[in-house]
Amino acid sequence: MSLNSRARTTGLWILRVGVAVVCLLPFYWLANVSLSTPSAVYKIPVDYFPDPAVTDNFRSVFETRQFPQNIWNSFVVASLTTLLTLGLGAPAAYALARLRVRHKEFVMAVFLGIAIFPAIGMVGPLYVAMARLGLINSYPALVLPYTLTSLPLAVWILTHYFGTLPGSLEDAALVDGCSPGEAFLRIILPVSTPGLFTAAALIFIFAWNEFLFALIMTSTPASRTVPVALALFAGLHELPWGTIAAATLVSIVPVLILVAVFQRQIVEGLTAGTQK
Amino acid sequence: MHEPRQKRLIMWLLAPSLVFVAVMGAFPVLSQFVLSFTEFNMKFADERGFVGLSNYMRLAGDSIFRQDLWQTFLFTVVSVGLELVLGLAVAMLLNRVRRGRTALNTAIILPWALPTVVAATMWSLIFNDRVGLVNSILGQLGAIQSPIVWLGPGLAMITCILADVWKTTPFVAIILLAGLKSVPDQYYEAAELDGAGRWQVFRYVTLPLLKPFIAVALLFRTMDAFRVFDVIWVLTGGASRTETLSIYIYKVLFRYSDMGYGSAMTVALFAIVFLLSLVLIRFMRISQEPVSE
Repeated sequence: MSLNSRARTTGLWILRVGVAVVCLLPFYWLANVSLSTPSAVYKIPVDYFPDPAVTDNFRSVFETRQFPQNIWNSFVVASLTTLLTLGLGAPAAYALARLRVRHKEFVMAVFLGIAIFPAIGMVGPLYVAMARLGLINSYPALVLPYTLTSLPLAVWILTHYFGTLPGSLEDAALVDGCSPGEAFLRIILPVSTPGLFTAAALIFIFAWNEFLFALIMTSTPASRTVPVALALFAGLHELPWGTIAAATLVSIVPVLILVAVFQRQIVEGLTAGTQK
Repeated sequence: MHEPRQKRLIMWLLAPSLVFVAVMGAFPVLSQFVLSFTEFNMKFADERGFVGLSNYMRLAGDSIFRQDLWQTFLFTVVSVGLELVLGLAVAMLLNRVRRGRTALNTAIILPWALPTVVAATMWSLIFNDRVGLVNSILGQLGAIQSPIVWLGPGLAMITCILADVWKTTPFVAIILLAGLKSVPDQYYEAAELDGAGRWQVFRYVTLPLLKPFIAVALLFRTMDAFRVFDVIWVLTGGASRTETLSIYIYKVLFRYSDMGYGSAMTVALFAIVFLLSLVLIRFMRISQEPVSE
């Protein structure tokens, strides 16, 4: 390796590490504030390391009964949304990818149309409907709209995934005496777990993060999901930055785990539509 | 497979999701259109009635709507523009990394995977005028005498854009990285054999082959940015000239409970986003035509 190209490689790595640092710096700052004492948070110039490091903020996050409840709400809503979306989306994607569906373009256009319509436009009428049904502050008030908005993504990813499976799979199943429906349930679905996990990870992240519907469909502290609880935190107390930072850190743990475990699948899911 | 049997199977596979979309999706969309021609305030639910185009007439004369439309446009153009440029740079930096690829990818994806509310909270902490990191560093360096109010008038929009760029540049980078991976190595080898320099390879090989990917990222990002709500809601609540259309609609619908007027604004926003995406899709078509240079 020549000196020039070695310098270039080093330069590129400095830039790469720089990008990673920019991405991660806010997390560091959040951790720093969350481990500081209330008086240290208001010190200027700031401390770049928590001194002394205290866990009081985390304790107060879990001592207020509300926040664990909010985490549980988010977990239930995101899980149910993921299951329902896959339950509806996987069969549809299978039909679109591997069977001769008439008016296929029309069906795809319906899903695409849902994806384009502004969420702020759906939330009003759905709020009125949910209020009439007495579902405000309930899980269905969030799970149903989330399923609607994540269905296009699921159909999109899974149609691509099913399309990549070899065509001989169903033939073999039919020879073995499976009905076409059984071929889908017993053969195609089991071999499609990587694709299903990709879709599931993206849907779960989306539902865990959603804010607008959650803000409008819930009105009591106990029924809120994490993002809404976090956003309304500031209004409740005298800007307890340490507690806010601790709650924020706790709320992203599921996302951190998902990204760490499914990093490759998430990238595949995001880029599913772009290559053929 | 027998035809009728397959038809029955297709129906069973497609019906659940299509019925769901029809009930949950078509209903709100259609009712927005209907509501936009009515006077309907949730606070006075009895006094509702058909008012023709009057909500739209009001919209045409609403200076707040015009102001917010401009601010939404500004937010969209600047943030999406920055995200494309930075996303391309990051994608090129990460392309062909072997060692440490997983660690880098994970670091890059994290901002995108976070709740927007969380990202906005982080940045409001960093840019806080009294206890924030940025003012503290600037103060220690002696660059400022008094704290800068980053989320106050004048600077708030820039801070919001910065937070959005941090959060969504990874999305653009991931899409463009997939694009870079799809370019066969032979293209670069051929270009190098022809004696092309780095800039020429970028300009005449990479960029043209990347165009469809840029178009996809541009389409998704523009549609999302134009409907932006969370970042701004958390950082400023729409104060200091950062109010976007989605925030204004939220206020009209849920603070003033004015469903009729709010619906008319929603229909307008939908029309704008729809037109924007048509324009961008046209641009995509053009850019997907074979390159001849």
